[in-house]
Amino acid sequence: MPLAEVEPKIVAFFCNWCSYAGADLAGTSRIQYPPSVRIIRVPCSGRVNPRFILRAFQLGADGVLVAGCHPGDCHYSTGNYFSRRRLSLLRRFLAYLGIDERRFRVRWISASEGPRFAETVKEMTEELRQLGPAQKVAATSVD
Amino acid sequence: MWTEKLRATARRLLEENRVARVLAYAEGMDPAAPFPHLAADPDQANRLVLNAFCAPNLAKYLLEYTDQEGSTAVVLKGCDWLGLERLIQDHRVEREKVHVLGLPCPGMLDKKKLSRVFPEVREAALRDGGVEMWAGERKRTARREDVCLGRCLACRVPTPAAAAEFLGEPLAPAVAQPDFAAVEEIEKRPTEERRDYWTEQFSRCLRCLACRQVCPACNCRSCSLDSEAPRWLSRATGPSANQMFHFIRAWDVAGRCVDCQECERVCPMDIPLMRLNRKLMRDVGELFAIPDAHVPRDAEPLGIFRPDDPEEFE
Repeated sequence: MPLAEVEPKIVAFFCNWCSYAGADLAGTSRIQYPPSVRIIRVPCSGRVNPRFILRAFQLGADGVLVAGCHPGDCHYSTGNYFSRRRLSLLRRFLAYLGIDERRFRVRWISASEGPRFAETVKEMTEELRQLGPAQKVAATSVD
Repeated sequence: MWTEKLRATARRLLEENRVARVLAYAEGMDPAAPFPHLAADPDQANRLVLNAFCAPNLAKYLLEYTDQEGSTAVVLKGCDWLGLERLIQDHRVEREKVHVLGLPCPGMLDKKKLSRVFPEVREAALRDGGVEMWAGERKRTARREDVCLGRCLACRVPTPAAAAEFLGEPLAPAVAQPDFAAVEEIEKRPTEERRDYWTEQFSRCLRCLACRQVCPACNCRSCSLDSEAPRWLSRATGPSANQMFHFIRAWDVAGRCVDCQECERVCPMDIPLMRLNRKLMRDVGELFAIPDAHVPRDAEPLGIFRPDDPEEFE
């Protein structure tokens, strides 16, 4: 199969309270979205240790998506404000280490935004298809 | 001349019981590589030395004495002093238990550079014009650029901003602003080149962990790099494990690095660790409008937020 037709792999970290519920809503509303996304449910976007993201890339992700409640709406009041700081810095740092910044996205998706979730996955999948498979630092993913 | 002043000061402090111990340097097998030394009674003060080879930062050794009684006098250069501030802000060292002997530092010599220029050197003194070095009768002079540590040539903090006593007259900084040219040069490269550059740099890593051990910002009681479960760091030293190691080391001091550059000095493989630290330092400063992001503050930049922080995500 030509590379362009291979479905990219997106590892997604979704917060339990907003974004995961938003993805759930997309499912129950029967909104179509690409099967490229693998969602990992976390209590809060603030739970996402930047190491998780680098590890996802090392283990074969073509893209990583982090989603949480909109700033101001965090279930734990302030968790996503911390993640916003951290992930802004991380995006630059990953790019510096040679991981294309287009492969790493952060979106605020509320529990009522099922269509927005589907749209986000569609957009990102399309962009990753254009970019092609991510280059890994090693031939073997665990060394 | 620093040595006499230090010995007299240490003797006085110990005799008067002002401090329980004095942390400084002593001469080792190689006079051009003094090692950290603790004087606990006045008679030991004569073993102490202080000269242009005393590059190691002593601040982190204070962690050894935090649970002991009495205060510790410690010799700190400007860069070392920022390390002490880091440890104090992190609640690892109590300010009241430290008696800072501030050394206004004109620059320290680089063993790696000396090994090329004058490997037999046993004594050295920094003068206005350059550096005078001796090995017995033999004398040589060199330009500062050729023998001093790179960090000293672009020093922003030669003198501790505060000290219980100073061992000399305060000195002016060599430069006012940090130089991020090396970071910017890497940023300009295409993504693939950046990845290849770092893969190559990290491939030399021996995982000796000297960079972690020496870092005043790496001061946790237990370190996730040593953790068995979860094991963040595989024991192999392949490309992705090395990438993970260097990512963790740099990221965990993001917004906390004091720019002392000890990690780079102790790295046996010359991995340009400060190019990671400085990238984060500059971005923290720019993103969150923090001037002098290397100076420890009440709250560390990634430990706080403002609701009006820049919004880069939709």
